[in-house]
Amino acid sequence: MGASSSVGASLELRLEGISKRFGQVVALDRSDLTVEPGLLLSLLGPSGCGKTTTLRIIAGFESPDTGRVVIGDRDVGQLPPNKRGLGMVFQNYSLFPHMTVGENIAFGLKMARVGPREVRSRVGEMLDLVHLPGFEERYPHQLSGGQQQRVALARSLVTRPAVLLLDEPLGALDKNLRENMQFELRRIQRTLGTTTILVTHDQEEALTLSDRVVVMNQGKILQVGSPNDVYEFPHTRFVSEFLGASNLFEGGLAHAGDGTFELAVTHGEDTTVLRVLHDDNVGTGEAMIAVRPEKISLSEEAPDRGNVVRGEVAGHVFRGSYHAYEIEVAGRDDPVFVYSQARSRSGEQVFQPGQAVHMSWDESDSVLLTDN
Amino acid sequence: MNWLPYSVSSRLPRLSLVAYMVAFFVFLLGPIFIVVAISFTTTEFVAFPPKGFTWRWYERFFDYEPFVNSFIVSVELAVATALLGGFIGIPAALAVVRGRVPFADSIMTFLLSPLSMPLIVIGFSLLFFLSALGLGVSFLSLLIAHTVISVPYIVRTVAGVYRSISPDYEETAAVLGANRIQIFFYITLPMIKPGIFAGMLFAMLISIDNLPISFFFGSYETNTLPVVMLSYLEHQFDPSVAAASSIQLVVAVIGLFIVERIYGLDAMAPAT
Repeated sequence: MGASSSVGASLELRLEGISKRFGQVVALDRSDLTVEPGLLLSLLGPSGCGKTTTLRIIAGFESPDTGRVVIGDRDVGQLPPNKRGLGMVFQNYSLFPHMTVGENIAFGLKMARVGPREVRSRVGEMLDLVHLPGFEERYPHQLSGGQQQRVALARSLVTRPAVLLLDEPLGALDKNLRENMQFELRRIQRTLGTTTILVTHDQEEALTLSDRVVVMNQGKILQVGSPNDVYEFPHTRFVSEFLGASNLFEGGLAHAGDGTFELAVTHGEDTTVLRVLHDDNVGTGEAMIAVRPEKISLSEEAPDRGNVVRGEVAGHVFRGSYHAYEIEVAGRDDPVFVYSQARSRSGEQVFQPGQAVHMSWDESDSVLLTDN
Repeated sequence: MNWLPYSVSSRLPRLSLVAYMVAFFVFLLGPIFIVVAISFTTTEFVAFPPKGFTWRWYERFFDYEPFVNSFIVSVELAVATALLGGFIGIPAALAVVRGRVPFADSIMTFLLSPLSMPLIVIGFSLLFFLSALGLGVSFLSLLIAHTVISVPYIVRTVAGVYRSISPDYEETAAVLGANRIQIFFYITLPMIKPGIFAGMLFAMLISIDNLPISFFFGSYETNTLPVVMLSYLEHQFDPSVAAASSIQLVVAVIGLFIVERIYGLDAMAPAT
């Protein structure tokens, strides 16, 4: 039994060439994915991108049309869900309402025919781990949302699964609780070192929790990388925009030598040259660069270095920790978004609507979007 | 509504609700109240308002052998119908709701179709059919006939409850290592119990109450209480029939009371 033999083991999960169609709809298109042992990887994307299908294929609820699911060195593709030695937490927790917290957590152990004494001690251990000691006799409906979430997590981990699957596990919690649980989830996952796959459509959750982020759209894996990588160095427009606000500039690309490229952007009659760093020689032609709003500085005077674009403040809102500006650029359709950190209560300069400003950013702070 | 003064038209929805409630009490509960009242009359014939008070017609009910025998047949039949109906209806409901069954919707419609057939037609045709099978007029025939008309009620309540339960529970249990049989007994069955209970109770009430079908399968051993009451009424008109009705009523009320205490009557709302 996978449940009892893999004590403390962290196993690798590998998907090889998985595809799945539902009728005419391609839910997953020949996807490969490797999760290194003990890491937390999140599948991030809008609904219908294939992330849930991927999770359900790993769990064994759906069988892929092609490809293999390998856990450790075992192909589990032909095994039913109950033989795969996994743990899973659903968005609504699905705690069995007719069982106590203790019985819920013990369920997996009972199925694995673990003796009653060991069951009791392991249930107690898990409740300690999720900070709910002594909750054995309560019923799920007596718990708050956050407590139910912890119990669901304890139930999925008590069998020491090879891989833990989390399907939007924090989606049903309110904002503050969700942030708390993000840290909590990460702590528990690190403590046990369980290879974990998290499905979410919330980019912040994916960035906060994961060692690796997989961005998916329309059944395809677009980019895999560390949270920093996918946020700072998106390859595509979709990834750039899905992971947070992003300003795009389009123009003709020219190689300026030494890993630097120049993009000639035309706004009305003006042509502005924006410099961007990129390692590979991507050639020339029409291209797009992306800049995050928080990377852009505003000033009245034109700065003497970096990329500079002139504009006029069209809108300003104060969002607590930062000021958000909408900057209109003559000859450009979309406004440029700029976030500037609110540092002190009186110190920084706040720009007013109507004011002419210069936006500037370092050439290493923009990224060239290579495949679109 | 311009021709009505504002003070009246603004209260029209409320007034019509009150009118509906009054009509409901007069036409639905009124006759029941009258039957119960009549069963205590001291007159030799059905009279309302009743004269005096007596338990005599209840004694008559328990003294008159056909009443007692048919009452026992009715109760036995109701229990057997609920059990057999549950045995057939529960798996059918589960399969239709969540099994990967082709034409699930059509099958559901088919399972519910006895509801839309005239009972007389079902009874008549079943009599011929079961006789041709050699079962004839027997308790078994009666049981089969009652089960046919009870299954829709069980299927409908069980399917309704099962449909309202997220498949996540069963999938969670599967990931935790439970096989299909374990999932059914540890997870599904406890969760659909209110639907099973309500459906089977519904089946019992339908069976106890049924006349048109039982009528076709009547014999000395297989007459149900409604059949005996009807034939009694053809010859005599004494208040013992009112007493018999009241006894049936008490049985039904006790049943509903049990459901209400255990699960709440909401569970019986025929979910579709």
